[in-house]
Order: sequence, then structure tokens, then C-alpha cells
Amino acid sequence: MITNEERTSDLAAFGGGGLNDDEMEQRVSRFRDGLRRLREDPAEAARVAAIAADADDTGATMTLPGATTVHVTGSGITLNLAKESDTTLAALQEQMYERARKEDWQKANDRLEQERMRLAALLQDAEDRPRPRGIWRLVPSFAAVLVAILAGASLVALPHATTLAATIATITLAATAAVTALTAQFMTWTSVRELNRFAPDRALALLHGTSLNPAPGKHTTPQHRERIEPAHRGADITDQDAVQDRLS
Amino acid sequence: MSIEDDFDDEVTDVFRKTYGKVVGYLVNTGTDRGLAEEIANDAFWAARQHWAHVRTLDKPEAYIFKIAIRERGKRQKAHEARAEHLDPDMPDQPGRDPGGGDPAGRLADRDALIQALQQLPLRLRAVIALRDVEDLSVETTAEILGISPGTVKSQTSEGRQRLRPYLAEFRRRQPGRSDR
Repeated sequence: MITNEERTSDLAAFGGGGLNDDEMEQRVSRFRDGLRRLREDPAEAARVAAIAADADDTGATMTLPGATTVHVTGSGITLNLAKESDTTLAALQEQMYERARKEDWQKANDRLEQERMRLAALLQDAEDRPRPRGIWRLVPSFAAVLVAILAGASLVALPHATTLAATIATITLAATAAVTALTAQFMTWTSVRELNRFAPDRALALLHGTSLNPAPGKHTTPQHRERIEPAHRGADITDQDAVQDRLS
Repeated sequence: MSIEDDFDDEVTDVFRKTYGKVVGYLVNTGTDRGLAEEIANDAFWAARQHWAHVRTLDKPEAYIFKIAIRERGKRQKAHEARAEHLDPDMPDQPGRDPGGGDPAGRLADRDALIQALQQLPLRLRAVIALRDVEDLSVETTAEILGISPGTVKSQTSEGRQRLRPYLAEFRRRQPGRSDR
């Protein structure tokens, strides 16, 4: 009777690839021959090494002619060298630094891109909220004109008016001036709204500039900066200028 | 003796212990034997190229299994297409030994086993092939398949349950065998 808790003998009989000892020794011998052949054939060694790439996320390895193994974990670099000339070692280090640089660069840009998208979504959401529009903008101007007319009329009429009429006119003038001042305060909202309209572009331009400006001296070479900066920083400057133009 | 020679010896030790399991797993989950051995060899050679890293892992054999499984995914279709092209009247049979090293009866048994395993969903087939056929631990199986040990246990149990009728039929055809 088979239980769910134990391995079945039927299945176990087919384990191990069905190889007897002699067959296994043949495979071992062939494997050792293959190892020697890989040492003599850098192209084949590189092909085989590539098979294991990304088998896990803990590191990256490169192999050079002579079966020398170089292993990189994160930003740290471990070298296991048997015999290499200085030239080969320098070339190897350059390759490893380049790889580490690309990985760091890519990860940083990925994170910033995610943050940029998040911010863009938030700003878009804020932009889509309903706010006072249209004729509302004319209210302060209309109120100011009304106050001016009332003030002029009051100045003309007050010397000839009764005390009661003068009081009413003064109160009306004061109330109108107060309303005008309040509406002018509300207009600050419209100013904020104008700013918000351009804020996404400006924020994105600033973020873009940050993401593409590598920290000086860290994983960068002058050649690298020359390669990256003209294409992207130029675009940032253009974007920021455009934003400034729109804001002004 | 250089560090490279030491690494060669270490890999060879792991090869002796694990090669058959890798080949067995690939064959029992439907890969042609010739292709399975080719993939297993490449996986071990690749592991050797990265041995400075692989030797530091808790389960180097799991790393090799993962390479082999991924490589099988890449090569299987190309291999089948090539085999069909070469001999369209004789489709490639999983588990067929091109060298004829398997006795006929054993080969038939293995084919029966493979047919039984084929009845399982892929996830259960993989777990059963690693746990019950190749006798790997729960932890190693979990590492190879990228799932939790708890999932391995539950899927092993489910796979055994589903295999039960097929294995009963398998034993019925071979009266000499006995259940454990």
C-alpha cells in the first residue's frame, strides 16, 4: 500500500538516470576530457559559461582564456587568478568595472523612472481636479471697477446727502471694497493653478536631469560622461528653458 | 596542485553524485536521453566555469539543476524540430536511449513510468520527479523549482495521490514488484 508520506519504490527504481558504475565512469571521463578541452578553447569556454548566466541573482562571472575565473558580486569584485599578464588583467578589470557600472546605472535609472512615473501620475491626478475657471477670473477686476465707480459717486454725492444717505453710501463702499479684496485673495488660487499646470513638466525635467547626472567620480570615467551627458543633459536644459518660458 | 585543479576535482565529485540525478530528472520529465545527457554535461561544464561562485552556495547541485532545466527549455523545441526533420517517421521518444544501453525491459518500465508521470500537471510532475524519483530533499527541490518547502510538501502529497492509480496499474503488470 502506498502512503502519501513515503517515497514509492516504483519511482525510486528509476532514479539516478539509470546509469551503472561503468557507465558513470565513462561519463566522468568524458566530463574531465571536456574540462581540458575548455581550457584550450576560449570560444567554447565562453559559450559554456554563458549557459550559466543568470542562474541566480547573486553575482556574475566571467571566464578568460586559461580557464581563469572572475566573480563579481554586487559592487564588490572578487578575482580568482591563476596566471594572467598585466595587459589581460587590466582588460579584465575594465570589463568588470564596465559591467558593474552598467548594472548600477541601470538599477538607479529604473528606480528613478518608477518614481518619475509615480510623481507624474500624482501630478496628473491633481491637474484633473475641478477648480474655478472662466468668468471667475474677471470677478476681481469687475469688483475693482465697481469700487472705483462707487467711490467717485460717493465723493460727488456726500456733500449734498443727508447723514443717513452718507452712512449707507459709506457702508456700501466699504462692503464692496471688502468683497473686492476677498476675491483678489481667491485669485491666488488661480495663480497656484497656473503654476500647477506647468509643474509636471518642470518636475519631470528636474527629475530627468537628476537621473542622468551621475555622481562625479563614482563608477564613471570622463569618456563615459562624454558619451552620456551631451545627449541627455542637453535635452534637460532645453526642457527647463521651455518651462521657464512658459512660466514667464 | 593549482586552484584550478582543485576546482576540477571538486566539480568532478559533485558530478559523480549529481549527474545521474540531473539526467534522470530530465528524462523522466520528457526529455530525450541524448539531449538530457548533452544538457547535463553543459550544465556541469558551465558550473565549473563559475565554480569560484558556485562552490560557496549552500546547494551547488540545485544551481546545476537550475541551469539544466533552463537550458532544456531553450533546446527542447529545436531538438525536436531537428529530430523530426531527420526522421519524420520516427518521432523522438522521451527516455529513448540512443546508445541502446538500457535492457529492453528496463526501458519499457521507464517508458511506463514516464507515461504515468505525464498524467500529472507539470508542477506536480517536476516535484515528484525530484523528490520521489531522484530522492532529493524538500529544501533542495524547493531551491531548484523556486518554490517554498511547504509548497513542495503539499505538491508531493498531491502528486502521490494522483499517481496512485497509475502506479497500481504499473505494478499489476509486473507481479514481481512489491509495494513498500
